[in-house]
Amino acid sequence: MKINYKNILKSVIVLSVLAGTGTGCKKFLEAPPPESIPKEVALADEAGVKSVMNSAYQIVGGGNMFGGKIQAINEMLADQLEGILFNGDFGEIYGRKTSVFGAYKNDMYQDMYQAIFRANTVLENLDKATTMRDNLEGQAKFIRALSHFELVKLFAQPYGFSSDNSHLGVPLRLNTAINAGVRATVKQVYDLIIEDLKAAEIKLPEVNGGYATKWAAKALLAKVYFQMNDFNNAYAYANQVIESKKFTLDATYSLRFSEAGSAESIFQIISTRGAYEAGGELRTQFRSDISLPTMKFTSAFYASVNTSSDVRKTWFNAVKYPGNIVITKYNSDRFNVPVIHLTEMKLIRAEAAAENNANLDVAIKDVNDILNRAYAGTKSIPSNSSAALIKTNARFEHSIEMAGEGNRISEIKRIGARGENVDKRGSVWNCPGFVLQFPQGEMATNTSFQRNPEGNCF
Amino acid sequence: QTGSLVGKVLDEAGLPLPGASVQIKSSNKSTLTSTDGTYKIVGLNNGEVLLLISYIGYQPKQESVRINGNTVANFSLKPDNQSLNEVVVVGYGTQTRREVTGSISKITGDKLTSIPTPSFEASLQGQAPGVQVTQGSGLAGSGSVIRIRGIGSISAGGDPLYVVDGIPVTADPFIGGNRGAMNQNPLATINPNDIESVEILKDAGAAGIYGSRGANGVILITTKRGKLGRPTINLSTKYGLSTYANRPEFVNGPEWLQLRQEAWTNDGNTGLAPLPGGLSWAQAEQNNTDWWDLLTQTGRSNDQSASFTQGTEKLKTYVSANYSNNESFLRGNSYERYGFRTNIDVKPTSYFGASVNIGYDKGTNTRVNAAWGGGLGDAMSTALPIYPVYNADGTYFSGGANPVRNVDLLDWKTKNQRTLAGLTLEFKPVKNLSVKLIGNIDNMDIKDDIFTPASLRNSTIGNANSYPVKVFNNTLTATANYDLQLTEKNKLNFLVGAETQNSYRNLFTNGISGDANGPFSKDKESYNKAVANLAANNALIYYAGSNKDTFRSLFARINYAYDNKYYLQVLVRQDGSSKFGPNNKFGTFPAASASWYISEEDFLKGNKVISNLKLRTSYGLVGSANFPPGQYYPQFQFKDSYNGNPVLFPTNVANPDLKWEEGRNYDLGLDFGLFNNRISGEISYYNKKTTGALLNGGVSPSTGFPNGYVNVGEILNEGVELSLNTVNIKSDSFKWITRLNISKNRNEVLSLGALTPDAVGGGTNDTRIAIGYPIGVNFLVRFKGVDPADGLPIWLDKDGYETKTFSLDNRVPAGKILPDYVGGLTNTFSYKGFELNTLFTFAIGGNLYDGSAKRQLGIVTDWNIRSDISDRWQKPGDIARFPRLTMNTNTYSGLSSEWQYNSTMFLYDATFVRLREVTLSYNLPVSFANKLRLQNLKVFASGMNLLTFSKYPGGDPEIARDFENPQDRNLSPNVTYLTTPQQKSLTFGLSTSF
Amino acid sequence: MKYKILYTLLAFGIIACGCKKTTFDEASKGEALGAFAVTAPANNTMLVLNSATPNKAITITWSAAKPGVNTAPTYKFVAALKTGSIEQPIVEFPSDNGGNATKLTLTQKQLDDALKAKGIADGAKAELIWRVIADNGSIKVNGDTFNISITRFGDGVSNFILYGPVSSADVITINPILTAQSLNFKWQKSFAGKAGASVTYKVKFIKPDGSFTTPLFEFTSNNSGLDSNLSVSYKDFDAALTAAGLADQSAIAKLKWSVEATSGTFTKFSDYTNDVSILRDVNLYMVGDASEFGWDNGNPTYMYRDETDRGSYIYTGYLNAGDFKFITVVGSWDTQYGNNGSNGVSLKAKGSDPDPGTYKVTTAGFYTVKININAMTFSITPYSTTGATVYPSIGIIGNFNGWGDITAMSKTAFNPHIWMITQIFAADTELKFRIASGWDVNWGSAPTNKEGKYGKGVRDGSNLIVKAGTYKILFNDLTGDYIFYTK
Ligand SMILES: [Ca+2]
Ligand SMILES: [Ca+2]
Repeated sequence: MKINYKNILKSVIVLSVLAGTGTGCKKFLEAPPPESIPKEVALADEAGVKSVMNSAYQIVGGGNMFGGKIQAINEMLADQLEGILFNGDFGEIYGRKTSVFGAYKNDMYQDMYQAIFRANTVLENLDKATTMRDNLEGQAKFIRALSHFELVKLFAQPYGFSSDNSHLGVPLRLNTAINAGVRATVKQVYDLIIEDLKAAEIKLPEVNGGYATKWAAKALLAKVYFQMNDFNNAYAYANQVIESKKFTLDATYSLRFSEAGSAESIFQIISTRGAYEAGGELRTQFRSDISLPTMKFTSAFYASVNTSSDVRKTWFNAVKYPGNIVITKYNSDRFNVPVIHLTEMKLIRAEAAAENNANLDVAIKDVNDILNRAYAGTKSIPSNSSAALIKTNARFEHSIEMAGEGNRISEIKRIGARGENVDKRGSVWNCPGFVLQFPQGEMATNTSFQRNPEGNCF
Repeated sequence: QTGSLVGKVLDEAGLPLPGASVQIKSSNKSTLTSTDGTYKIVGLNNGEVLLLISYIGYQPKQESVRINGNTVANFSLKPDNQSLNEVVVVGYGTQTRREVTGSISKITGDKLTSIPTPSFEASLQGQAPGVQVTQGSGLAGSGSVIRIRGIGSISAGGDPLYVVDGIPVTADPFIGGNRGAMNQNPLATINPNDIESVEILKDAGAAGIYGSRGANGVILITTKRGKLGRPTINLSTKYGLSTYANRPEFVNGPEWLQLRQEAWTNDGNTGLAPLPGGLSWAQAEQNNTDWWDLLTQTGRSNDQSASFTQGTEKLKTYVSANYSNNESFLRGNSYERYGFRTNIDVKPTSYFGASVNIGYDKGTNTRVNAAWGGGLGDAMSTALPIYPVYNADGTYFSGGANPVRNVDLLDWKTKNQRTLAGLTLEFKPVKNLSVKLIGNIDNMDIKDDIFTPASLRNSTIGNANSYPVKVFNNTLTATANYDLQLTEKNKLNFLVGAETQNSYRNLFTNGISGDANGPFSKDKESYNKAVANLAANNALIYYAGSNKDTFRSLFARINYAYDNKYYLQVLVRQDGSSKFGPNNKFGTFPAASASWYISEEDFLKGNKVISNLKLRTSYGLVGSANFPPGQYYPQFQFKDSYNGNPVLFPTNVANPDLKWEEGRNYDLGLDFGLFNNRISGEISYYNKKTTGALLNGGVSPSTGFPNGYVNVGEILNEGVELSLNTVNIKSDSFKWITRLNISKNRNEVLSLGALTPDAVGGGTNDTRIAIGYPIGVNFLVRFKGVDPADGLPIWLDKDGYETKTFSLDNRVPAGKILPDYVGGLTNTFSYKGFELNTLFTFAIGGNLYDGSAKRQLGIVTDWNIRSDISDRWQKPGDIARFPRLTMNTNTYSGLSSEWQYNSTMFLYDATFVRLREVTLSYNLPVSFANKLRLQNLKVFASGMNLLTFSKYPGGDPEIARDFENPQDRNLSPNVTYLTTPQQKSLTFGLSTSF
Repeated sequence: MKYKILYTLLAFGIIACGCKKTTFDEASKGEALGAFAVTAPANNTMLVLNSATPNKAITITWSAAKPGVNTAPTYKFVAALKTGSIEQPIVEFPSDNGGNATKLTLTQKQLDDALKAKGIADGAKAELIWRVIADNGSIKVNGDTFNISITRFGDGVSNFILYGPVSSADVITINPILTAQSLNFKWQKSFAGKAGASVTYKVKFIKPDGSFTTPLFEFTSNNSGLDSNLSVSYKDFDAALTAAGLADQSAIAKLKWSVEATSGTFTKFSDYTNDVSILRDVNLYMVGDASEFGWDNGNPTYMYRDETDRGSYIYTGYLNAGDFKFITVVGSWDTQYGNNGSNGVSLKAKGSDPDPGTYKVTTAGFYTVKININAMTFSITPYSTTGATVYPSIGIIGNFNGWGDITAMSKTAFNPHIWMITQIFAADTELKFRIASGWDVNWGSAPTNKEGKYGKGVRDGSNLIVKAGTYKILFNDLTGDYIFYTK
């Protein structure tokens, strides 16, 4: 037996050269996808952090949040939509008996937390920021607070449900760690929201090129305090925003959802042609000039606005689709989506003043400003109106002005927590089904995650 | 030297065997038969010579012939199914059947072309033990789900590795996602006429050489090559007709209205029920549209192929061309394909050789929407019989689903071009040493072109979408093979090798879309405008090198043989992959296997009963790594903009520990041949334990992410395979052969870390992963029956007690999508030139979940209703299968919505048997063929899926639906959702060579 | 032989795989049963069994457990010593109606007997745990486990109820200066459980949200606690209220009262408590031939009052020539205020006292009459109506009528400036006095007196805030005086 070692050696050399094309260069096995860049590159400088901050707005304004889903889900839960033909996920939501499934709701939930994740990414990388550091911190905290606020309103019983608000809220996400969700109490969630917004209020500038401003933070604080039925603070913050004189009531209602934007907007989602057209989900669910939309209003609600002098009748169309009342607010191809606007601030200030039984003259003027526009100058309340009269009017106008904007359910719950049941569909404000079920993924990853009780609203 | 020997070598049916070897043992003279089976050896001395005639797949024959001048001697050979000299393709080489120590099933190419399946791999159904093939729908070009010895993956792909002529090819069914409710199947571009054989590597002994990619088994496809002999041309032509194999039955218009009214009345309402689609009762009563009928047709297929083969010692050539067009039974749906292949082997000297393979295929799939996407899916769901096709003014009805309008107006073509090419250089510097350098490419160009005309989208202008994807995949391999004969009985073989693979895609992430007057492939102006518009808005996102996957390996294999009795193989492979996280960059996969020919031992030699008995076993580590690249590190992406400024966002949950799934596979098998191999077969037992199975889930949604990859699961697959071939009758003119294979697999999820069954799943299926149960357990509320008193459904709560309150909390493992047994039974009868071949395939046990039935048989909505609703409760006292009709989810207490109505009410026994193939063929007598100057001529007729036996009333019981992702594909075969049935077809054909 | 080998091979295969099979359980174990909740008694209830009321019922109630399909469960109550295990109860009772009811009614004796049988001594307190168990034949559902302490029979008093005054929303107005008038409380007599023992009573008063364990004040019943009634003079009652912190006589004292009976160590309250509202206040009405309605004490002239001095009563309006004096209760001459002889004030405190004198009007005309029953001063002065507008119509307007049009008040020819209406307000309301159309002439309250029941109206003043109820409302357009009398 004879083996030619020399030849074997030769072939081994050939092999090693070939293999070397792989092993020799370890980089060969590092193949980052070209569509992605690694974290350390992405967040190397302020520009990167700014772009990540911008990505949080992309979510907040996207279809799963203020692009329409938050509004649609809130409206379905409330008492102004005609829902007998809703089915599937919509039937569940309208029926106030959501389940742990239902992608429509679950996708919203996840994206709200994705917005928070992105805001947290910014907060964890503020050291890369230079000139924008405070601004970015303020924006990230504003977005984090806004998302937590929408979450806690939908997925937990309202503030005031328990006397010390020790009832369960939603998971609080204050960093980017990937771990199981654990529900904080409603008090903890509101505490964090306020803490974030008070920081944002200080860090944010007054003008910010379309991004959250000091005034946006203050306006959101007013909303948050109002939701907590803390009328002193609600009044104080709404008052600051209004008295800043930065915002003016739109002369006509068509401006509120317009491509030009609304002069009332304190915080809005900006639509950019061809690149980021905000409000797509609003158009999908509500738009009524092309075909009959899914979202239709009850005749009882329509009757409240269908009075001879109410200008806001133009917001509704009861003729085009016989037997159906649809909203026209969203009937255009493109518009900015105001998330917080002056009308709401004025209504909050008026009602808070009435509840405080102080500054009633300011409140009467707020109410009359709204009435004057709504009824073309034919309706007002007397200058010495009582707090109760102001409150009655403010609440009534609130329900019409904000129709289709996803606000009504917050009112039902807020007023409910004050002991008044105002739901027109007859549910008790704190019945379990008013609270959305958490997505099954929370329970799947944390067996001790506390679910919300089911249904039983009717 | 005055004599010569001429003659023919024929098979048992009297047909010529081209390329058979005729060797004179006493001298070194030998030759090969030509295409007509003739041979000639000259320069022989008169006198007695001993001849050895051999041909692959046939029993060799030794015969003495007395040479006397020009002598004629004809031989006929008998086929040898269990031939131990049969060549078997293994990873990076070939072995004889005798040398094989692992578990390998071989299927010859002719088995793949007898029925017109949408893609070649569907034809593997019922052909090999341990291989479960679930064909997808009858949509042209659709794929199948193939599982080899069960499934050990959850979220990573469970598909085997496909290797064509040494190229691990792209087989990802998700390149085009789930567009139109169909997964584009890249394997449909492979021309079955070019396939010489398919070898399926099942255990660690066989698949171990593929290391981190071997755990799901490996399917080796070998294309045809030039054969020794004079130039021959083969032609084949086939024409076929097809329809659906099974269909669900639905109520007609008047019945639908009556059922809706019944539901309305049951709910306590008076008057007429409101109707969907904006129709009044008067309008609805005028219509009775049979949408199914309008959307289906008699499918037609034709398949033409021509090939040329030629071979000398120095040059062998195979060239083929083919054309096929399969118009499916769905109106407007077809798959048209052209293909060419050239395989050339040159061997100029004894120490150098080269092979060149070039295959090119172009397939055009004319698409229709299906399942949830529309089309026939609409006919099974929202296209109601009360809807008209046309309005009174002749325009299309658009108040509700109108799939006819969609099929008529939508123009959708998916074009696939694939080039598979390779160059092999082989050096033999010294005796017994062979060094090979191999370079291969597998490139695909996929273009999905969709055009929605203006009238279909209620707009003034049409819209076109295009999704161009180019897939690149190249491998570079070097191997050295050395044979070492230590003694006469001791033989060693060494293989060492290195391989790199690099694959990536160039694509537009969101495709290209915009206003157009025709498909972008035709309306170039609109295309250019769309591109410009997207680019102006930062929305034209093109990536070169997307999905980049780099891979490099070293491997070695040592085979030791002793005395034709004992065989031992040891191998190891080390794989490094760009998919693996930095903490687990390289994996090492060793495997050992051995076999023992008991029948060669003295105590069995010459045994009258046992002609062959071989015991084999293997144990080894294999991996599976079918998951997307780049998942291990925190990725950020730029995407679109907000407020005119760039957007950069995190896209995933990083995991630096990410790695392959690891299988510890054990195999024990017995191959046997009895009574001179009249009965032969094999029995195998295997036990495969997967650890670190990948789960793309288990992430709390309050992180903001739906999922992330973690190696967390443990899965067991254990099973037995039996294959049995018997020659039942064998006479000169009549022969009956039976081939049976059956396999049983038991799958069990052993661990899921700390996660619950809901941690995976959801989405498009209602299957889950639960510890102690097989993968893809149906996780449902158990339906007990209908209360005769009030017609309401009764459920079992999770503890097994009856309740009338439906709750998703009462979901439990209630069924499994995996069958207990799968297999095939083939019977072949031949009489003279006639041959009748039947193949029954079957799956026994397991469950089928009908995800559409909950809408077709549940709450009355704007869906079609199946005819089996007749067995429903209507009045107190009725004993019925289905509860009282209702339009209101509140009627069934606790039900949140009709979509959450998942229960065993819609779970069926999945057992089915189908007559997969019946073929009758006739080989015209050679003498007749010769008169036509042909070597042979064969005509045949073949039926596919002519009969199906099943308890499932909802259509085709064999289901591989459209899938969203690999996890869905693992968990949800046998879950149907408006799935298009398979086709039933009849094919006529003719083949000849000259 | 062929087949023997074949079968051997098949057997080999089957054995090799083991015969493990995945099984899914589809069997029904019977009907499910929903959860239920106990509604009474509360956790940690302390129950003292009363030997005087052996037949008194003890009830345990709970919500129904929802049947899985049709079968309603049966229920039983079980209790064990706190030191033991609830799984081994010492007391077991099926619920009422043979276990079918969602309620268990036991007499105190039944429970006492059951505890006695387990060796608990007379009068001893047993600390127990208890639960209700529902059983539908296939599954048992346990209710929550609660604590209870039960004291066995010892001393006791029988049940008794209160007789009067009965609960009423009506306000009992008492004149706090009177000693001869009394408030009288009566109740049923209670008997001691132990032979020979006596029962004593205390009457206890609390605020509506208060607790009888810490009463505002209490009185021992008549006859040193032995009688089942109590008389307290108006003056003493006023003193008790004042001592308890309710010094403001102008506020209606809303109280609950109950009686506690004691025998030995056992005390027990009456079965019910009664509400009583006391106003220590005096209404004055003018009678006499000088006034509009003459001497008809069932239809006197209602006086206005000074919001700043609740002892001061005013009338500005027309008077005939003649006499007048004042009564405090419509329809009764028992208490009167009148002339002491020198145009001062004299009180007739009770029916048996002598009547006071009358005041005289010599010339018919408009006058302002003022009388202060604290300072005991009186005055009458002419009033000029020169330039006063005589309004054709005045009425009330507010939330109750939608702030649209006024609800008109009426006046008499005798006095065209005094407007009167009896009005029911279904809900709390705000209102103003206004002429028929337009807001040019309207009266509200002073900003500080929006909720006052009387006062001086202010032109364009604040909205009055009025609680729901029925009122006789008077308004004087000369002075703006208004007053709301509760009907
Ligand atoms: Ca078409
Ligand atoms: Ca199928």
